[in-house]
Amino acid sequence: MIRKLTSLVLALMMVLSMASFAVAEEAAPAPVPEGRRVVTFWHSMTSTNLEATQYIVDQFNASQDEIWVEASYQGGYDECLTKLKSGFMAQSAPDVFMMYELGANYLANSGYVIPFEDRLANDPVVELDDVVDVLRNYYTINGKMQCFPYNPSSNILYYNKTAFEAAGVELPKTLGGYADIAEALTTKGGVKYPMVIRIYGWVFENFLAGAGGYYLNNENGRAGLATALEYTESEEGKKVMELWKKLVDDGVVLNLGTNGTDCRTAFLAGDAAAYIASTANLRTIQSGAEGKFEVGVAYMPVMEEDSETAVLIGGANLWMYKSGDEQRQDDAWEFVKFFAGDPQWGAYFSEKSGYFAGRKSAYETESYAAYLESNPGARVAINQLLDSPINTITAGANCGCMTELRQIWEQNFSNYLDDTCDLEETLEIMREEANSAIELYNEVNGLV
Amino acid sequence: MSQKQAAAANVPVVQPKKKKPFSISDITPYFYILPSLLLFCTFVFYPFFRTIYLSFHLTDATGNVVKFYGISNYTKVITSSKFATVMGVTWRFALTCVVGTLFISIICALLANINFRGRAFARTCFALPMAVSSACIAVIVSFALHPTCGVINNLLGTNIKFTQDKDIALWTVSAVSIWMHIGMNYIFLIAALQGVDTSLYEAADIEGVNFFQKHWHVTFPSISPTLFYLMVVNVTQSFQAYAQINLLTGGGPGNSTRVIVYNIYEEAFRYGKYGSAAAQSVILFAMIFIITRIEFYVEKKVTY
Repeated sequence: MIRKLTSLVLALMMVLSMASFAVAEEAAPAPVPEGRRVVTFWHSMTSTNLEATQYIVDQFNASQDEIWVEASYQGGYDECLTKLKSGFMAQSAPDVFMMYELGANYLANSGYVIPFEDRLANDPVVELDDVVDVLRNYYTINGKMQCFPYNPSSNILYYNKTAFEAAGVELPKTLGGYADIAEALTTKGGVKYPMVIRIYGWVFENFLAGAGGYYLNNENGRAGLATALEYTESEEGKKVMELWKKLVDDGVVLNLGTNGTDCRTAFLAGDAAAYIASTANLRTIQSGAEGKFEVGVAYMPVMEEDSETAVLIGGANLWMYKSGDEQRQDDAWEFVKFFAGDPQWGAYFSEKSGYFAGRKSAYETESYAAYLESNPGARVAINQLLDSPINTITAGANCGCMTELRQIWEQNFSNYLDDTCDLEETLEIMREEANSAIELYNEVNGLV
Repeated sequence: MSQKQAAAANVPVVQPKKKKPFSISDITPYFYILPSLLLFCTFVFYPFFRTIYLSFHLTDATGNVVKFYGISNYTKVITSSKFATVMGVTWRFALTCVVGTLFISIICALLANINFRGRAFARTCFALPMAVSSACIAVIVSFALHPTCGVINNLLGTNIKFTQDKDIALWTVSAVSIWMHIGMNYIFLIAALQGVDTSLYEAADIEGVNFFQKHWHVTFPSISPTLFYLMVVNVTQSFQAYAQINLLTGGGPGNSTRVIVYNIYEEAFRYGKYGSAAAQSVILFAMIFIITRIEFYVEKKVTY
């Protein structure tokens, strides 16, 4: 009997683990109707974001009877980029694809894409002035807007309103300010730590931009080719890292390493009173905290009381592949135009996902205004986006090997936090590893 | 009688065999292996030689070969301090995993081989980890080990950073890997134990040996072919570990759990440094090759 039961349990578990694979698999795409020219579209959207994307694609397919967009999920941004590269080499890349901010410089210089602005010149469906300034600033590379923002995001501060009210303290504007309210929060507020910050290159870059520091030389690679790190040489870079470490050492900031989920778990469990993460998490966090505490959304903390909150863009964009086939390229443009040309689609996707919309006019549509009315958190995120100063600092680091530079920062900053290295050693290693990476990248990609 | 004489005498002589005329049946066997050969060429041999080729070149970010780089990829990798860390982590991880996995699965197999009530249940339990995917394990483990709100820390009343402390993270990842691999090893070992000649145990019992002597002198020699096989497989598996590292720690904190395969993956598919990644792959290949050779050499010395 026991033998039978156990084998049954085992069999059941195997079936279950197989079932979980089946769920992960995509539903078969609808067959292409006869007489339609196919446009392939690669994306990295899952769950509700996938549904919203598919809805937009379906709407496009229903809007005319010549082109048929076939959307397919290709894994996360990094995985998708790897597949794209194989596609470029085999001349079989998708006509339209979604790629995140760190892939922008590589794509813009690769020669495999058609800049958005080139297409716009002959078919002006969008006023570039209507594109959110920070986005236009970030994605204007080599003098042209290269792509159209599909699901932009930025860092934002989430905080446990209930704990702050119980502690009777105001939300500090500066990062250092958390040290002053730490005691009140941990005693009266009932939390273990005032704040949890993930060791994440993007967050550091955001703090650095808020402090007014460049990441790369030559004004972040915007005034000329970036050839070396700037933050290792500047006061701002040191200041951010020193403060971050001091807060961790003093028990003000909980350090849970590079894993974003661990940090979110700590925040949602009520262990940390504040938490920095992407605006794209807004929905997840609001629903995760439901019934436990009230979530507040605020601007990213800055270094000095009088400094402005800088926004450093993340998220992905629509890019068009230069296949050489005029018809396919035109068809691809039709789809991008459909999305970019009508602000309602950006608004629709933003509402469904928590990402931003790329056009300012999207925020003025009726349904979006109603959404903001019902969701003040989203309003704060958008205000932060629209309020951000526009300069070469918030334009972000423009370099093709940013993925590697980010990793170099994360690894070595982690060593600095746990006292493996002191600040000078850390900076020296970062400088050495990163500068040789930049040099090699510029050389092999024919940029020098 | 010499050949000449025989010829002269017109006596038939056995001629050295002439080459048979070509017939299709000579090459038919090659057709049989062609499908698998094609598959092997496409998915094993071609990538293997391509890797070696790439390891001597520099590529651009897309992956196009830009120029010949000689052995510079190798010298750069070997002399970098990061690679030394990676190697150290890889070896420590592999040793812990191989020793730990074999030790625990032997104990499990020995226990399950004793006749007791509920043996079937225990046997199923020992094999269970096999049925769980590494992604599931990683998610469950990272929740259970969470420093501030994980089950384990709550039970212990501590705040141990299992995957965030550089001194503990590698042990955590090793423990999870060991747990993942026990099931498979245990199945092999229990099968081997069933095959041990019972008359040997009877003879040992008559000799009046104790528990340890019995297993040391009878069980281990009898299952040593299986043990050897598992050893080779485990060593290879541990040197190629990737999924659990990627899911649990992402190589961190710092570089404290950065094993070589994780490093190769990152350099190739996130940084686009295919040349350097290929060089490291070749180094890994050479390392596993040499270790396996040594293992086979040692095996010959072992008597069954």
